[in-house]
Amino acid sequence: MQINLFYYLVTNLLFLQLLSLEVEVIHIVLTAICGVGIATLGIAHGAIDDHLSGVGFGKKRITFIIYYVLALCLFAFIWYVKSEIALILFLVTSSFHFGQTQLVNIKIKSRFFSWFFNFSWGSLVISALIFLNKDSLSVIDNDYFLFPSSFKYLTIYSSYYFATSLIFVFVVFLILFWKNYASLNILFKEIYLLVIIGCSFYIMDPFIAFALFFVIIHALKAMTQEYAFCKNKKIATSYKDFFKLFFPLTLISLFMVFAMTFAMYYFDYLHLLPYLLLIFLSCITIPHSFVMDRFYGSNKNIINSIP
Amino acid sequence: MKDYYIATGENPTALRYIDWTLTVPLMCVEFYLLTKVAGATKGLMWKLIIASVWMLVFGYIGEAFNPEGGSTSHSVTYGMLSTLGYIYILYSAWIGEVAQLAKKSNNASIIKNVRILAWFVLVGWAIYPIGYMCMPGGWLNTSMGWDSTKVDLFYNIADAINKIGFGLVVYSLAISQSKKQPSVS
Repeated sequence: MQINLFYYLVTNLLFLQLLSLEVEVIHIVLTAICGVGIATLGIAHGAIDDHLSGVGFGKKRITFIIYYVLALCLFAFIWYVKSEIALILFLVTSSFHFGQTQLVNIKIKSRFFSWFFNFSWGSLVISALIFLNKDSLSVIDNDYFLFPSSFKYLTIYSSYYFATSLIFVFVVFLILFWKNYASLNILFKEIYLLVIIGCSFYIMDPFIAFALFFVIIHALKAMTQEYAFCKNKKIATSYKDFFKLFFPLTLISLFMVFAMTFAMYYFDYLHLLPYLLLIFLSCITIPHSFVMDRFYGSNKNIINSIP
Repeated sequence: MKDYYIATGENPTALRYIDWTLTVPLMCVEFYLLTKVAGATKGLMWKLIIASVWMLVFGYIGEAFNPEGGSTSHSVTYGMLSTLGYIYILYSAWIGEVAQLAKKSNNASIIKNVRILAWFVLVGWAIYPIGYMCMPGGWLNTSMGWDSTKVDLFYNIADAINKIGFGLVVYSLAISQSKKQPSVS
């Protein structure tokens, strides 16, 4: 068992018991803890994409950051012009990205099958989040999306989305076992993790449940891989060095979130903040996913050496 | 336990916990015995025993001293305290000392059997809290409407899985090890 899965189990057990007290203050505190988790570890895991691309510290790094910001702005523009397409692109990309980070240690020869496998896993997680919380999420589509919107369709047809993803993952697991890509132990672990994620999504508030998954299962794992890479390439030799690497861009991202919150408050659009945060997260996810895809492709040995 | 239930119609809580106070620490001893060849110390055994007793004592207080009609805060407080013991054993079996010793043994059979026992702790032992949360005031009781009669149902399922399964794993290991050793006779 990897340490992040252990943390995930422990946090879920403790959060579940605390939430069962049904005390408003505890709910607020736990939501705040999750918010802090996303703002720190969640954002930080994508804050060293420049170093992961191997552009170094010179001019190439500046060019990389400019392209990165341009990609980010382009995606924000897609949200502005056609929010439905942006949402679908975001779901597809993040599904693939979540799956890739989780399953990177399973070696699959076929590039297409590997892509399909990663996509199915991530898709199952996202569809489970929507399907198991469709009532509370339908409030969002009423507030922010105009009919007919892809998000509305997603909540309405979430059962089909979830069932299809579940079948895909089941088929993929069968193939993995049949082709000897993964041992029974590894498959059991993955199935167990998916069951725990599903229970967490079902039992807890969608924001808290997703934050726990995103921060502990996804971001913490990605940061472990990134730290191994930085250590191997001697970009950072200690946790302190690693912290110094991701701190500046994390701070800038957080500043942007605060500026956005303040602007929303100032112009009396505070009710739109969750929607804008979703757009902001999707904008930083898109270029990050592409960087991570290249990172995993060219550093397999380092990633596989992580216990 | 069956006789007690037939005679009183109540959950045999005290009897269950007496049973578990004997069997659960013994399961922890099995971890020690399995990894002894790789250098497991008596200290490890006692740590696991203390963690298991901690888990049971707080579980018992949570269940047996639950106020009339059930109290969520009582159930959660002792549930959380009990969980700490479980977390320690889980950590030890999957990541900590037991897992490291099994790895160090370089014996495929020990690694495999410790892993199977760790799965029992992870999945099998996790059934008990489901029963615990069905008691009056428990989360499944208050939020999901699962009545307290399910407490015994889940405990029986968990007992069947963990005791029989756990025993079979240790038995199969003993058989495979004795086959490897030359016969004394």
